[in-house]
Amino acid sequence: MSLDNLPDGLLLEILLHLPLQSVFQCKCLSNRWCSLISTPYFTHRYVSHLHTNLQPFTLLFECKDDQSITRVLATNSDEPELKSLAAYVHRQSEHLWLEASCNDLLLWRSKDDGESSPMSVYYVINPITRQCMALPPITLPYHRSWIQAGQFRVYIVSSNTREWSESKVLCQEGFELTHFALCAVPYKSLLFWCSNSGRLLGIDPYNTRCCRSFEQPIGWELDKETDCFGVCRGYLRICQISMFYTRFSSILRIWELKDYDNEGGGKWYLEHEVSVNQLVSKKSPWLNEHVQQKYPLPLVLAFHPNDGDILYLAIELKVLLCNLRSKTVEVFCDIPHDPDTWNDKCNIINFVLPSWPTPIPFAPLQNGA
Amino acid sequence: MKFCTVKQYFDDENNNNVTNGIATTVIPLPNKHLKIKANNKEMEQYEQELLRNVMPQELTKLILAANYLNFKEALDFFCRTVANAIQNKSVDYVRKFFGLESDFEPGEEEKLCKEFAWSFEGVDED
Repeated sequence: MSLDNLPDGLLLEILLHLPLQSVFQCKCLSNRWCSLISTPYFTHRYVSHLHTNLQPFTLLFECKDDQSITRVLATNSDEPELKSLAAYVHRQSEHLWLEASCNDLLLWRSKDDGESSPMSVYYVINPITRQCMALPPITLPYHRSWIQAGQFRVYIVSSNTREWSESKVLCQEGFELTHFALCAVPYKSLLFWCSNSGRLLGIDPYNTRCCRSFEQPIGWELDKETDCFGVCRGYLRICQISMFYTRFSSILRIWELKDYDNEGGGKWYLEHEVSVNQLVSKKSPWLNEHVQQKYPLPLVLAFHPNDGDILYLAIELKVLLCNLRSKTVEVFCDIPHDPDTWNDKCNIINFVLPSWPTPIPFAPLQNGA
Repeated sequence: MKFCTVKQYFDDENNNNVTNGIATTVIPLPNKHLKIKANNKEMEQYEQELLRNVMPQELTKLILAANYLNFKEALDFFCRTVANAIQNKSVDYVRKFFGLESDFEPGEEEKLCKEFAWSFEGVDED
């Protein structure tokens, strides 16, 4: 009696113990296995069986390589599932600009447009499964970071219609977008943008007349801009590094938006307040000296999607992992080339691998992937 | 309480689901499980031993027995053993291990392997 004689339910029990890649390989065994693995029930069981919430994640950022071509690099390619990701995005960034991400889907724009034609071509790619979908070409006006009082235009394409639609969004006052956040942060079915003054505006992509806004946190320095905005452990977070010139120290503050779901709710709570030059490095004397004596102004790159104590910073040519609870900082990885867009707060994109790869409907494989 | 099903089995002599040989492997498991629950290394060694001495066909019977007896820990253990045995192995190896034949139309298998090429990066050749 061979293992194949086991009923579907027991075969499923075996598959639950396999890593994701092996599960997908098993689709190639026989029709029966392929059907078994392709059901939503299987995906649901598989995802529920995973005991961890800790999804592997990496930061992707752009910098110019030694041929002055802007390429995308990944910070964390030691995770086994993310190993091929770094090489893949590096290859893609030869012809495409990386614009945004949502979990494991990346939005790219073709580098070929600009001078020759006013049309932009966007692609949605899952870099793990290599599925790729081209969006219809669209002519977009030049990115305006200052939103006129009253309204701004939003262009949305939906995976249902696969067509672009344009909507006007009404908002109360002038809203200057942070220069790093031209793409929105998806949160609880809304798309959120953050202004330089720490205010948030969220829009429902299915009904752009519906929006929520939040004022800046108490304690926000009005003459200093937003350093980082994102989602961590299911909450919106905002970060600002303030500078007290008289005391020669910069203070990093992170606020988290709580009570979002309450009626009229949504209040910022100060989660972390750390003086940058109190951070200690246990492994790197160079870093210790730099942080404590040279009053650096680190660039805030991103929040960790799952760990509320971790913040990614950049100083000089290094990405640092900072633990705000233990007040320690360590070098996370090096940046090989000088990203000359660094000073303009270059594009930092989060990539989070969910328990099951996000499928792109009707998307074929990318050629030469 | 794990063995109410076993009692039922012994009472019901027409039952073909569990042979005596299997009963001797599965039934001592809870004791062993309790003894080495805290010690993962020993469990791993026991798992290796099991894989070495037990053919895939035997594993089938063990899984069916554990399922029939409603013995969750044993079922998990055997399933995990099978999963570890086929992880990162080639499609042919897994087919042999499971004793299954490909029932794809010509060209269909190739199409699937191409679609899921990303999952094959880094596979043992056996």
